[in-house]
Amino acid sequence: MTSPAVPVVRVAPIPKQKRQTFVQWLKSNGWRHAIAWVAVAFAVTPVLWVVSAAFTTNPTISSGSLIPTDPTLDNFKRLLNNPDQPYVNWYVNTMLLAIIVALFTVLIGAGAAYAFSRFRFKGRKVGLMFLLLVQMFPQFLALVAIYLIMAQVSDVFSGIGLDSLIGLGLVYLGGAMGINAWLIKGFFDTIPMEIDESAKVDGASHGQIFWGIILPLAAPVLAVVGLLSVIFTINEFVIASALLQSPQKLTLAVGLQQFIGEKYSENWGPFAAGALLAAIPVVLLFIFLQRFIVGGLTQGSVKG
Amino acid sequence: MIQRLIAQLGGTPALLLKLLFLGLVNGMTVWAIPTMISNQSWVMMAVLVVATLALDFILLTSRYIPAKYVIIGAIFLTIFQLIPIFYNVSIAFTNYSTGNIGTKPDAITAIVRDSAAESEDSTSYDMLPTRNATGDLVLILTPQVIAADTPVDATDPMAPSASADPGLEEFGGEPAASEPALEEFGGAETTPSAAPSGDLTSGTNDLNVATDAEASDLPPTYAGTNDGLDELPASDVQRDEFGTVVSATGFVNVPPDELSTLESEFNDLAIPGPQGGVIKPQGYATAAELVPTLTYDAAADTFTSLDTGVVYSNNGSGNFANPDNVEDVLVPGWREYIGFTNFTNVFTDSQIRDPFIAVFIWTFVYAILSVFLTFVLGLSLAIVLNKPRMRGQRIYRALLVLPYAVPAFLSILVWAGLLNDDFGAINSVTGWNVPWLFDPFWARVSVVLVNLWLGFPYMFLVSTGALQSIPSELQEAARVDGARSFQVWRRVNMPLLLVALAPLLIASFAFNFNNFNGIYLLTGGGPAMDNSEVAGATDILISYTYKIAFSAGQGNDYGLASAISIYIFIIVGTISAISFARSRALREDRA
Amino acid sequence: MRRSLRAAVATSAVAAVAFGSLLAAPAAMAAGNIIFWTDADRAPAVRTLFANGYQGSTVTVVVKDFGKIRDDLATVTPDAAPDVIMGANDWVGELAVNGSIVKLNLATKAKAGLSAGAVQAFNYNGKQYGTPVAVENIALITNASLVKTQPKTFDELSTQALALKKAGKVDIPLAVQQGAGGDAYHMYPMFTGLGGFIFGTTAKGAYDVKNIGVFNKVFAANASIIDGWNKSGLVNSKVTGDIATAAFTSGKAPFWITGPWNLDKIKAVGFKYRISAVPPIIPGTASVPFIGSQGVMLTKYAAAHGVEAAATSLVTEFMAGEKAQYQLSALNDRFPANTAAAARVSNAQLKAFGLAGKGGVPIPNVAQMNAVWGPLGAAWVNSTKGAGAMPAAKAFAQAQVAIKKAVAAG
Repeated sequence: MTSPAVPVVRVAPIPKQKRQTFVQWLKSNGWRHAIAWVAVAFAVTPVLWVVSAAFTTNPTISSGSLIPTDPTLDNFKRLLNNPDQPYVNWYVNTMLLAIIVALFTVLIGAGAAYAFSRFRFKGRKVGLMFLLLVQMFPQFLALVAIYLIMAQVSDVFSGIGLDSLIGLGLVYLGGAMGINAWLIKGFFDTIPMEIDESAKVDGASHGQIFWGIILPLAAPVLAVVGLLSVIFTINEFVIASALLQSPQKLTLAVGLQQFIGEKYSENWGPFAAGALLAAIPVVLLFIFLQRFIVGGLTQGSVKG
Repeated sequence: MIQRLIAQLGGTPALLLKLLFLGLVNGMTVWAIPTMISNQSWVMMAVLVVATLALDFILLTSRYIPAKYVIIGAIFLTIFQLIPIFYNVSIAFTNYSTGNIGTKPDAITAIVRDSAAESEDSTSYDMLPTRNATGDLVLILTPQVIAADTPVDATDPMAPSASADPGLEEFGGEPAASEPALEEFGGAETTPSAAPSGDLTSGTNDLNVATDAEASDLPPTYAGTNDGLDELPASDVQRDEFGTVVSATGFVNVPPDELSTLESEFNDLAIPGPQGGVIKPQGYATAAELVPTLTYDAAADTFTSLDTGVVYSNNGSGNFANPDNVEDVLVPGWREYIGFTNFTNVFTDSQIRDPFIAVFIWTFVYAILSVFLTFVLGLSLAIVLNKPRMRGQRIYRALLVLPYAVPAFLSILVWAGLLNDDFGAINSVTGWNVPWLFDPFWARVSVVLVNLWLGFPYMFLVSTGALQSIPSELQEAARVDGARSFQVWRRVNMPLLLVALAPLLIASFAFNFNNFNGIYLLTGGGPAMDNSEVAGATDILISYTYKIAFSAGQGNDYGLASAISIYIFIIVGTISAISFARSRALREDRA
Repeated sequence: MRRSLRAAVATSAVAAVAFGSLLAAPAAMAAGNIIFWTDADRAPAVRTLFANGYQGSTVTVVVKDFGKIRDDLATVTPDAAPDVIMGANDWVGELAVNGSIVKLNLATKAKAGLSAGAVQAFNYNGKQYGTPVAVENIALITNASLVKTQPKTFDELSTQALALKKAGKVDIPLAVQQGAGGDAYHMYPMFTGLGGFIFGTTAKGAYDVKNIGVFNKVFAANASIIDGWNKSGLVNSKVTGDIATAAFTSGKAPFWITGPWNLDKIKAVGFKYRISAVPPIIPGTASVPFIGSQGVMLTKYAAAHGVEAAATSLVTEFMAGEKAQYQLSALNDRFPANTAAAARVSNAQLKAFGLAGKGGVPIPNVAQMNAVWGPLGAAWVNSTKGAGAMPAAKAFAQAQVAIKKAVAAG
């Protein structure tokens, strides 16, 4: 199932060790543990800080304890009961948008990858190069233009233009094909053509091969592309902040940024609670899909 | 199960689904065409029609099978990536910015409208909308007169008079001191007289501040129609105790709840006034005589001032201007193509050039530092943890990857709080007093530090992957040859690693070159630089561009922002092109 | 193939009809609905005012981030665009230049009922673009339990504040917010107190943007006073709004320069306090604040929405009146621009703020003001950042040059 092109982190089984002296241990593995501990502290402390603040009543940003002395849910109540900052809407908006966009991104990317991997046609090379080139122009550089286009779209199809999550999702899909098609194609290329050939002999159409054979086989890379897309959507700030206007239609990135804005000391507690709630599903998804991720990363995509 | 379902869909149901989808798309396009024609959105219409036809053609014929799999992605790519790029280029050649955002006809309309002014001694009128016997709208107009001795309120902070030192009152302390003020508020809120609804429905307004109700002083009242003003006999006019006209004999008041239906009738009203201007309604209860101060000559495309005789002509860069004084322009202006001005200004206008160069240099420093530091840290940790017989590897790895798993925008906002100079946890826990986000140098340290935190897990992951893909036989062989372990590293592992990771490092550089969130959400590009209103010490090109286009309070210059974004594209494109040419991305394609 | 083509055409036709009926374009808002943009602070008050609509029109109140009201107005789609916005007087220049807001005619009576300065603050190029509804200014809040006698001069203030700091009773001698980006607005009383001004005025009373007084002769002669403040730590640019608020309300700052938007927090402190003007720094020169004015403006969209007369009436007739302004003030802790409503203000603290603003000047509403905030704020930051600060003379001279260049560049 795992293709040779996708190296996966293999954790070697730990054999039973012989007893050794402390100095020996320090020389062989001890210093490694020491460094690992320092690195882990660097990586984890800010996260713990937020978790602690989320459960502390009226925390200051500097409240000095990593473990809340008197844990409460006050911040969550303050966060969820503020009609001017409809956090629940932001949350639902973001998660739905991220999932739907990821779904379509995977389908669009896989479709293009299938065409470029399984068919030989005129303009194929040019098309591949073109995808790479276009990808170099970050979509949000053309923000002004995107804004004006969406304003025109609003005039014709109100509901999918400005201040619309559907419209925002459509804009994100504009960037769906480029690098993802490359990433998925790399994986498709490792699936032997013979599988297709024999299916064709059995009378399968190109559609049946795509949906029934290739896609299921490519599940690992599709998962990675989907995850990267989810992460991209959740993190995307610029386009969302330009296109969305109504408070109840914002995404988490835009909403929380406005919420915390210049009011760090005032809103720190509820913000920490909001950040915690927002991070949990993403971290879980990440852990769940982690075994696919390393492979996906080495294929050349960068966290957006 | 799902696969079986999909396989079954290969027949008629798939066709039906396809037809339904196409039907929806075609229907949407057909439905939208009339709207687009009336909006004159020709480009949009062309794109939509072409896209729809292409979709129909490719999905309904079997001549281009590969295209079936690309077409939908290609349409999205075209509409939301390619067209914006071209549009962006075209904006870069315009003066689209604060003061020049609309179309020329809009600008002319606005200039004409705003130029109609009250003349020096013009009059405001109390207005009462009524209907005459034949049902035509007639405005009952009474000139507004202010009694000469209108008191100036001493509490007006803008009143020029300096009153005596009132002495300072002390507030607060014991609760009793502040109670009364609070209680009075409660009262005001519930007092019926303060509720606006009562007055709104009664049809009067509360502007009757200073008129005196003595009949002899009262100004005359007129019935105003497009034929002119017609003075009404005083006996036909009924007034309230403030002297405000409430009705007139022979005319029926328009009921308050019907006022909102009068919009178009109001628009058609233009009552010739005594000053030679036109009396127009200014709301529901007042009217004013307006005299135009500018006239537009459509044939010559000029405005002429009726006061000074100055002729304002189209200056070719989006404004009507006085040829004798280039700064005497009429506002608003409109969008106009201005050639390469935006592109050249980046180099010739020191106001733009100086901050641009500083930002340009910092962008490279930031991107290079980010890649270098994250790579060094990530690789070091990968090496340290890449020891087969080490306990806790799995848990270390899981924890080290945590910064990568948390959505970056959240982490950055959290860091902005932690680094806060005075409230932030870092300064208060360590007892340092580092001006993290405040001082230009430390702010730069902060953005790099935070980016290191965000980025090292990625480098750790890919380095680990790459390390483990180096065949252990290769290392064993080298060691047998007598190479010492550092030599093994330098000669064997490092080259292999770099080959595997070079494309990723370049991709990471390109990403950080445009790492908007990493800058904007942490420092907003600040702190301010001395030589620019817009650029800050940590601004990279992309955040600088964003601020030029969208920054609050600094005006918006979309044209300039678009021009700079094209420069960014050229820079990133060149770097990426070189790297792709060298990388094996294309050679790996088994064409 | 033919069959499927025919089927596609048929489906398309059906779908077209379906779309036509389902999505029937909500072209333009239903007539008689006024869209009113305001910020979260004022929205409840505005909603109360228009709970029953306005003269037969409904009023839809849309809450926006205060700063976003101006930004979004430039880019909003015509359908969703507001007819009326509530905003600050210093927006007028930019919005008028863009053609986003339209000229109004305040009737003689309405004008007479409003603070003349506030009306003027919404006047741009001799044209009226808004009805002021509130005025606000910053004042000096003094912790009366720490400071027994109110200082009459800035020198006295400085002596008292530094003594308290030295005694370890307070952390921040004078809490006035700046932060990394600078805050020329909050520093303005000190700026005028040292003889600075931003734009001169022409004989006609319009702003003369060529005459920039950031580093005029008087100010230049007094600039070294700032260096003294920096050295003694009286004024430090690292103090942000957050810090200033926390320091004063916790009794760790004897003096705080802030505005009525912090009245809630001021009222909640557990000690006695006074509200007054910032005392003069050099004899004969008053330290006056900016007078900000909020008001309602009519946008160009009202005509297209078919509510022009209704929205105009709301802006120039209703909102100018005593009742609307008194209500707004009562719900929102701002000093009304309508003088009759102002006379009825019973909130003593609010009144004290009003008195402290005497002599204040409106924030210039010319578009060139955008070129001022940054450099002027930066000059204060650079000259009061403690160790390593730039001499004030140099910092403000730089600002003068930067502003001049920016204004000239347009």
